[in-house]
Amino acid sequence: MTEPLLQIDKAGFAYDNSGWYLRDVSLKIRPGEFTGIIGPNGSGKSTLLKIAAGVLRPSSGQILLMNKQISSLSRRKIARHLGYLPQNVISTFDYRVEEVVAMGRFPHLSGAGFLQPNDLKIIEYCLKSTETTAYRNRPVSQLSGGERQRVLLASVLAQEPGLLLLDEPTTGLDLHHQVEFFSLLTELTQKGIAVVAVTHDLNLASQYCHRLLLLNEGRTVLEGDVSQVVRQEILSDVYRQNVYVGRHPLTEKPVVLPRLRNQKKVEDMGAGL
Amino acid sequence: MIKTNRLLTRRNCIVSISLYLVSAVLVLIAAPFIGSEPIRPGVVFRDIIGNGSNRSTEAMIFVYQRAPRVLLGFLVGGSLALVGGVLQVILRNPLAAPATLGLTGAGSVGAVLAISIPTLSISWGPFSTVQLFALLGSALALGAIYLMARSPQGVSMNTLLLAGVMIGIICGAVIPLIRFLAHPNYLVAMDRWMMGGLDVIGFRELAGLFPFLLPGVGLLFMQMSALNHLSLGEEIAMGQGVNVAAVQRVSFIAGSLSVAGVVSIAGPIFFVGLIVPHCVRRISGFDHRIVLPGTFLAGGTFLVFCDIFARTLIAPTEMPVGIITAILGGPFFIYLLIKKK
Repeated sequence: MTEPLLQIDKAGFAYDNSGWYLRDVSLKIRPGEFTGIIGPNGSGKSTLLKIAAGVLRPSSGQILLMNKQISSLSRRKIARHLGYLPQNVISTFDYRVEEVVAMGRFPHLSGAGFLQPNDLKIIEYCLKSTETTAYRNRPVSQLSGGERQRVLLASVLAQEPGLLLLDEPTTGLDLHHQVEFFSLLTELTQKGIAVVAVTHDLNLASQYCHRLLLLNEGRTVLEGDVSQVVRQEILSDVYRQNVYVGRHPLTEKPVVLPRLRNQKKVEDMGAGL
Repeated sequence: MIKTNRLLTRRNCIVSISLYLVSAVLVLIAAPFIGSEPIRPGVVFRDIIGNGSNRSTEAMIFVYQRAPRVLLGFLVGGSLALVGGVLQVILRNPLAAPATLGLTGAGSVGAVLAISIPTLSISWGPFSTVQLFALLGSALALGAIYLMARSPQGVSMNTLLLAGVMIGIICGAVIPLIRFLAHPNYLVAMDRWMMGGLDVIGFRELAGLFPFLLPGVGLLFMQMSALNHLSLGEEIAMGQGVNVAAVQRVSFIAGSLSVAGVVSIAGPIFFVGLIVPHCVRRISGFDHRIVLPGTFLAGGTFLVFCDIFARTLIAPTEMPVGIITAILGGPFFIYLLIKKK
């Protein structure tokens, strides 16, 4: 088995005086793996991702990036290996698309950060692979939600990271753009990039991810292959919502549907897992 | 095939800044020769280059009045605009300006206090009593704000903004109090100081400005690239390799240093620091590797330009330059706002 790019080892965290804790969460990320982090609101998904990205410092446990303590690395060094896309990126100024993408080159540049021919080539490539070249000169404020997320992804890709951490990258996107975005992430994993995505969309996670980490109340409930985690009794319990888990007729991957109140039990319909 | 691109290579940056550079050079050359007392460039040039024993009045006015005043105006305008441009980014607030840090008010309290007690007479190096008290006021405010805004994660930008504005408001109340208690003979001096001005003689004041502006402005320019990331948001900036806490702390301290130095010599000059950065962004886009040098040059150019009017409009008396900056700059900014639509 290949060496993990990132190891989260028994990470813990508490926000000041909130009474909320993240406790002993561990996760290993290997090259080319697509990992989904799922769980109800307030389960600690985003907090875990911030700790993994080195944006928050864990109060216990350790984070190893390429076998080195992440706290011992400079921000620039981290950014050369790890791309982090937070939720709700709101810019004060209305940069053009290619300017935002070019910002991703920051960890590779020194001084005033002027772009060299090689940087321009990489920016071009990132625009192309996210299909954002067509509107490279448009201001970001004029883009639709789907376009915006792809531009931000292109910016993070311009860091040339081996590992991507994405916090709810498809929230607010329509079905088509969600599928497009996750397909794009799959292509990246095929090139050997490890992708970790926090998502509320259990079906997308189930279709595209290789492994899933299910969190609840700051703790790991289960970590494993999709078929191990996406199970009726586990999800119903964690989400406190009765669900029905079936199979996608074409991909054979599990699909999750909510069960409405007063709906018949799954057994009665004879299709449960 | 040469592909033109609008991304920031070194060449594109120099092209964009050259506009500001050319206007700065032009105004710096022309301004010293314009004034209530006519000066002929030929005479000045001949007297300065030639042997110094027999200098004409024109050359003396040029060397001891016009040149230092123009230089001071340029440095003051440039620094104030630069600080405003940086603060607007790190505080994520388009209304931020040098005065937002509260140091303009605190420095003014110090200066007004020194003027109200004329028996007080301390001087040290190039600094006069009023300057030293202005600096002392600024230093106290800076320390208080820093202690309030400091947190384990760095300096809280929100607290910084609120603490700075609050200190400004408190100082705004203390100044009338000092005026009320002071002897009426000193009120005019206080008022003149409070209006801000660039009337200096010789280079003593300029020398006193360098210990503040050299590190202050230098450190602010070093944040150019990182400031672009900060305007996208703190978290994504960290993810892209920016040491956000360090950029914020350095910007705050370097900005405070510059403002304290400027206020101690020129008094409170408003408007330049608020409007110039916005004008430059409207003209040159939002990349701060262009915006910051452009803002410094444009701020300096603008204040020197306004000071020409301040010196000449009602000659031989002069007007406070702050009145001109608002009267000329306000409509220009409104024009830029309308033009974009």
